[in-house]
Order: sequence, then structure tokens, then C-alpha cells
Amino acid sequence: MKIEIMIYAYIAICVSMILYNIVYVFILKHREKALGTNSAKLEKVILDELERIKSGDEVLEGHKKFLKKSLQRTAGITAFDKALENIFKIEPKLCEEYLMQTYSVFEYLTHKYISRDTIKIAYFPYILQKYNILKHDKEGKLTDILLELLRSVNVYCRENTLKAIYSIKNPEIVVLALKVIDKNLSFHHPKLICDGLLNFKGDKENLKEMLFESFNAYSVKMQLNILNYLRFGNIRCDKEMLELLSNEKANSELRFAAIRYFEKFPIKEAESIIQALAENLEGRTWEYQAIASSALKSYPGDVTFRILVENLSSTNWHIRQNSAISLERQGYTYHDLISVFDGNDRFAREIMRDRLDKRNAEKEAMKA
Amino acid sequence: METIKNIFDIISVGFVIYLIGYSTFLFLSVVVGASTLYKKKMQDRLMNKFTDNYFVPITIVVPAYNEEVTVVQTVKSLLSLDYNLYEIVVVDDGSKDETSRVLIEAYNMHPVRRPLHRSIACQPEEFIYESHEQKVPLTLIRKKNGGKADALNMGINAAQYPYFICMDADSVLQYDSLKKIVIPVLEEENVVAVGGTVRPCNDVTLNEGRVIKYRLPKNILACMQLLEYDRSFLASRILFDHFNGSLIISGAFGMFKKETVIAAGGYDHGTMGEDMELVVKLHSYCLTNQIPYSIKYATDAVCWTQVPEKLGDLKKQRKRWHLGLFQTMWKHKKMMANPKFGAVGFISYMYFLFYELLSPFIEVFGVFTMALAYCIDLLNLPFMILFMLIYASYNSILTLTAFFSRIQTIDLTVTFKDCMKAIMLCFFEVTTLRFVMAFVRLTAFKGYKKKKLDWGRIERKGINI
Repeated sequence: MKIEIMIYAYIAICVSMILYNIVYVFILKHREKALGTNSAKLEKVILDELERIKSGDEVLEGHKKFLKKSLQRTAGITAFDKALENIFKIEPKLCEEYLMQTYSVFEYLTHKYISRDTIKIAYFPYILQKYNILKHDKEGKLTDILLELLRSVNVYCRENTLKAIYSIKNPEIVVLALKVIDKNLSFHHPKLICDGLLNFKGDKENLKEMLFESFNAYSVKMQLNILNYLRFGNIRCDKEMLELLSNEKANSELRFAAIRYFEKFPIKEAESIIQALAENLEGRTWEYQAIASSALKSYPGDVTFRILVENLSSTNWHIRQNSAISLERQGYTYHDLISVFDGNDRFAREIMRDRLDKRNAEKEAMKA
Repeated sequence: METIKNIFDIISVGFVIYLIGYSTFLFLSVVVGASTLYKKKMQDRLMNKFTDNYFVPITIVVPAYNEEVTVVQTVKSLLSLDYNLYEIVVVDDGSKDETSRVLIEAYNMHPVRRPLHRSIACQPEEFIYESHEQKVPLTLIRKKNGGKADALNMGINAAQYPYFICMDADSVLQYDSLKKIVIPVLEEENVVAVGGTVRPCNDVTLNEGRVIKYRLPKNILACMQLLEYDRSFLASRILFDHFNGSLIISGAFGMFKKETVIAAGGYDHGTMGEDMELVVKLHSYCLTNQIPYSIKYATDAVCWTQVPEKLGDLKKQRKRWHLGLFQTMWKHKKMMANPKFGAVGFISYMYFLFYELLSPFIEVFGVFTMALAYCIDLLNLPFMILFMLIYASYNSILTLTAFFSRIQTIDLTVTFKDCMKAIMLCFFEVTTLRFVMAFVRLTAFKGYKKKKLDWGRIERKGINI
């Protein structure tokens, strides 16, 4: 009897599965169809408003009320996005004016969206950034809400919000945003922060100043993101980087970032420090010597040559490899490195020969 | 007679519980899998995705053995991937054919004397060739034969980037697969491995990693495997992903964090299922050393592969997989129901033990018991037929659910004819192929010691690229 009961349960599961599948397919089909119909309708309505703007009138209050109501639904805002995307291609200036006049709608909607499911919330800052709507937020009314969205557990919500914040072009808000992200418990990948900052189109010098003013308020991870952004963004900050490079007590990762910075932007004052770091460990970890050996490619000279040749015989593979690359990049030949090739260190010979062979092959390829 | 009847009663109840357990698991996994895919689709629709390109540096390791027919095309397809920061390392594991020569000639490669940083032990290299004329650096390492795991270890040693992808030399990565497979790394901290989705591409036309024409394989055996792949990838892998319990990342397409793999010891030379063994080893290593980690599954990172079209080849492949499963489970037996390993030990390990490793024994024993019960007139035949029909129908429906969910969510379209073909074949797959494969897996252990370094060749047609 028990077996029969189990079989009935089996059938019930089976039937529920079929129903689940059928219902899902229908919902999906309906949703896709509805999106097309709704966006076509909205396109017509928006075009009517654009006609009014063209003739010098303002957007009707009734239209704003309609937007406030319909864009609260996800289906409504996706249809609006689709419709506006199409119109933007034809009438960008009129669309800008339309968005300026309807700005109060988005201000209203921001308050509504903040309490939604995070997947739905994420779409809203995307729209704000896509159509650059926040430039109409002259009084910064939405700043606090946007900063609040950065506390979301959804990485896409945080990412879309950060992009919306960068679109405001206000360094002060960017600094605040980074502080919120830094304090947040959810992980936000360093690459997203660093590459995201590179998209900031506002006053970069001002941003740099403000970032360094509050530098000590950030965690080491965020400080590292900032230093990497400055390096990748070709934003010169020699003084601050030199301070970090010289500071024996500073965090190792930050000092590594400073060494890499001076590899990209060599200055006389950094040379002897980097040479010293490449020359011996003095209780430091091997990474210092490896990274400094790599940076020395930007500081040619007799001292550098001597240090790099010595480092070719290091017991650490990375130090050997980086030293060989630096020597090769500085244009030394087999003849210059005769002491290495005639020496007893097979590892040094092999790694150096490989680099020089590679350079020759690249030259040949260039000629071909 | 009463005792025999009692024994049969116990066996029948045991079987029903076993099947109910399996069906419940399938039900849960298909529901979770389908809803995850639909949620993913909604996320994409609502721009819950990275709209900019974020490139995590990746090394693609292609282990090759006697691949002179396919290796040039494989590299060509890899060079056309829509990604900016990667390198390709082909490891020729002492092929007896012209694998290295065809590659050197096709890409105008030149010899180098590059010293390798040997973080993991592997057979020595015979020569290294490189080419810098391509979109990305291309390296060929010819080494002494040592098996697929050994070739992969060599590839890891040569990899210059922090993440590496392992793939088969006869598979094709979809043009956007690298962009998709790095997403979990950007989304979450401590991701040490990401599995991609493997889809059969027999009779699918691809151009530079893009699907030009999608259709179900003409070959019935290949078509049934497609249904099986969909069920397996949609079902168990997504469900296990929810509790960080994935035990398998297919050797055809998976991405790993180099540093963690090296720390865990790399691929095991001694197992045939080196792909599964590595994932189980990563769980074991991270949990034992209390290292925070996660192993993810990227549903939309797709790799297209040829599945066997001959029963002989399929049998060879499945025997190899089953041996690999056994070797891995045996090697990591300490994980079995061990509280130290949490859900991985209690759910994933036990599922693989009962419903994968032991399933052929249980299923064949079931058939044998039915035959015996019928002989001594203890079998309620109508009830048995009804039960089997319900079981088969149920599994068929779940298979179809997986198939259609996949089709819908990855924006592929199939013809009405192909839909009908899938509907008809799914029943056949559940009732016939599954039992044939159970017998095949049962005989997997026959002479397995001889096969340790065997690459397990199967006959393939060229991929339409």
C-alpha cells in the first residue's frame, strides 16, 4: 500500500512539472509580446509630447502623471526604455529637452524603486545613466538615494549606480561613493572600481586631489584601487607616490603600486630607491625585488645593469625572469651580456637567451 | 517461499525508494535549473549585467594528442574569440602523428628556448615554439607522452596569466565564451573555478565561434546524447552551484585560478577523470585549509563539442568516465558524509556515490531481480509495467523541460521537425540508452589498469566551422 502512495506522489510531481513548464512558457510569450505592444504605444505618446516641445509648448502635466504611474511597473519602464531608445536616434536634442522637463518623474520614481527587489532596482540607475538624466538634478536631491543603492547586495545594482554617479561628473560624489563601497560588506571587484573610475569624464585633476585628501579614510584595498586608477588613467601624482615609495612602514601592496607607477612614469628621485629595493631584500619579501627588477627597465644605467645581471642569478624564478626582461628591453646584446653567457649559472643563461631570442624574432616578424 | 517473498518485498521497497529519491532530485534540480535560467534571462532584460568589457587575463590550455586533423581549426577558432586579454598554449603530449608540424606551419611559429617555471611536476618538454604574429600570443609545447593530466600540468606551468582555461583540442568555444566565463569572478570574491556549458555540435554550423545554423544531430545516438547533456547541465550542475557543491567541471571547458590549482597540486596523473578529480581536490584542499572559496557554473559560457556517433565510441567514452568517477570517489573517500566537508560531503558526494557510481549496479540488479521474480511468479506484471511507464514518462518530461528551457534561454531556435524528434527520442533515451549505458558502465572496470595514460580516442567528424 505504501508503494502505491509513493507512486501517486510520483504522478503528482510529474503533473506539477508539466504545468510549471506550460505556465512558464505562456508567461514568457505573453511578456515578450506585451513589451513590443507597450513600447510602440509609448513611442507614439512620447512623439506627441516631442511635437509639443518642438512647437514651444511644455510637456503636459497629464503625461507626467501617466509616466509616474506606468513607469512604476517593470514592464512599463522596459517599454519606455525601448521606445525612448528608438526616438533618441532620430531626435536626440528634443529627447534631451523632454527628459529635462520630465525630470520630476524620475525623481519621484527613484523613491519608488528603492524599495523594490534588487534586480528591478538595478535597472533604474541604468536608465538614469543611459539617458544622462542626473545632469538635470541640479540640487543633488538624488545623491543620497544613489549612495544608498551602493549598499545593495546585488553587484549589478551597485555597478549601474556607480556608472550613474560617474555620469554626474562631480568628483565630490565619486569620493563619497567610493567610501560607501569601501564600507560595504559586499564584494565589489577591484577591476570594476578601477576600470569604472576610468570612465569618469569630469575634472580628473580635481578628483585626484580629493581622493588624496581622503586617502587615509579608505581601506588598503580601496587605496590600491585608487593608485591603480591613477596609473592606468595616466594621472600624474609623483609627489604622493614618492612619499609612498619612500615610506618603509607603508603597506607592501601600496608600495608595489608606487613602484609600478614609477616604472610607467620614471623620475630621477625614484631611481635610487627602486635600485635599492631591487638590489637586496633586507628583510622584505621577494616580491619587492621582483617588482623593482621589472621597474628598472625604465632606469637604464651602469648601476641598474649591475643589479639586473646579479639578479639573473637569483634563486627566485620571478626575480630572474623580470631582470631578464628589463635587460632585454634596455637593448643589451649578447656581447654586452657576455659575462652571463660565459658564466656558470645555467638558469641565468637560459632565461637571458630566451629573452634575446624573442626580441630577435619580434624584429624579424616586424621586418616581414 | 514466504521468506523469498519477503526478500523480494524488501528489494522492491528499496528500489521504489531509490527511484523516488532520484526522481525527487531530478525534479528539484530541473525546477531550480529552469527557474535559474529564467531568472538569468530576466536579469539580462533588466540590465543586471556588465555592459562594459572587463578583461581578466586568461591562458587557454589546449592539450593535444594525435590531433593533426583538428588542431589548426581549433586554434583558428580560439584566435577569433571576442576577448582582448588571453594567450593560447597548445601542449602536444608526444603525438605519434604530425600535430606539432601542422601547427608550426599553419601559424609560422618559431623555436624558442624558453625556460619554464615548473610549479607542478610533469614530463619534460622536447621543444617549444611561439608565434607573436597572431592576435594573441600562441605557444606550442611538445613534451614526452604522459597523458592528458600531465599535458594540462605542463600547460599550467607555461601559463603566464592568473586564470587558465582547459579545453579539448577538438572542441570549439563560442565567440563570447571567455567574456561569459569570467563573469562569476567579477561577481563574487574567492572564485577558484568556473565551469562552462558543453553542448554537442554534431550537424551545427559554426562560423568563428558563432552559431550560423542550429539543428539537432541527424544521428540518433548523438541526438539522444544532446538531450542527456541538456538534462545533466541544466539539472544537477545548477542545483549544486546553489550550495557550492559542484563536483564536476567538464574537461572540455572550465576556468581555474592558477594559484589555487598549483597549491592543491594540479591535475592528478593517476586518474582518468582528471577534470572531476581536480574539482573534488579543490573542495578538499580549500575546506581542509579553511580557505574561503567558491566553484561556480556559468550557464551561458558555451563550448561546442562533437559527441560520439558510434555506439562503440560512446561505450569507450562512458567506460572511461565511469572509471574516472570511481578513481576520484575512491581517492577522496574521506569526504563521504564527513561533516568537515559540509554539503559537499553530505549531498554532492552521496549523490555521485548512489546515483552515478553505483547506479549501473543498482539498475542492472533491478532488472535481474525483476526477471527472477517473474520466473518464480512473484511479479505483479501490470503494476510493474505501469510503474516503469510512469517512471519513463516522468524522466522524459524532465528531459524535455531541460531541453526546451535551454533552447529558450540561450536564444536558439529549433524547427518543428526537431522538436518532434526531441519529443520522440527522449522516451527512447530514458528507456533504452540509459539501460545500455548502465551495462556499459558496469563493465568499465574490466582491464582498467592498462588504460591509465590512454587518451581515450573516439572517432570524430570535423566540426562545421
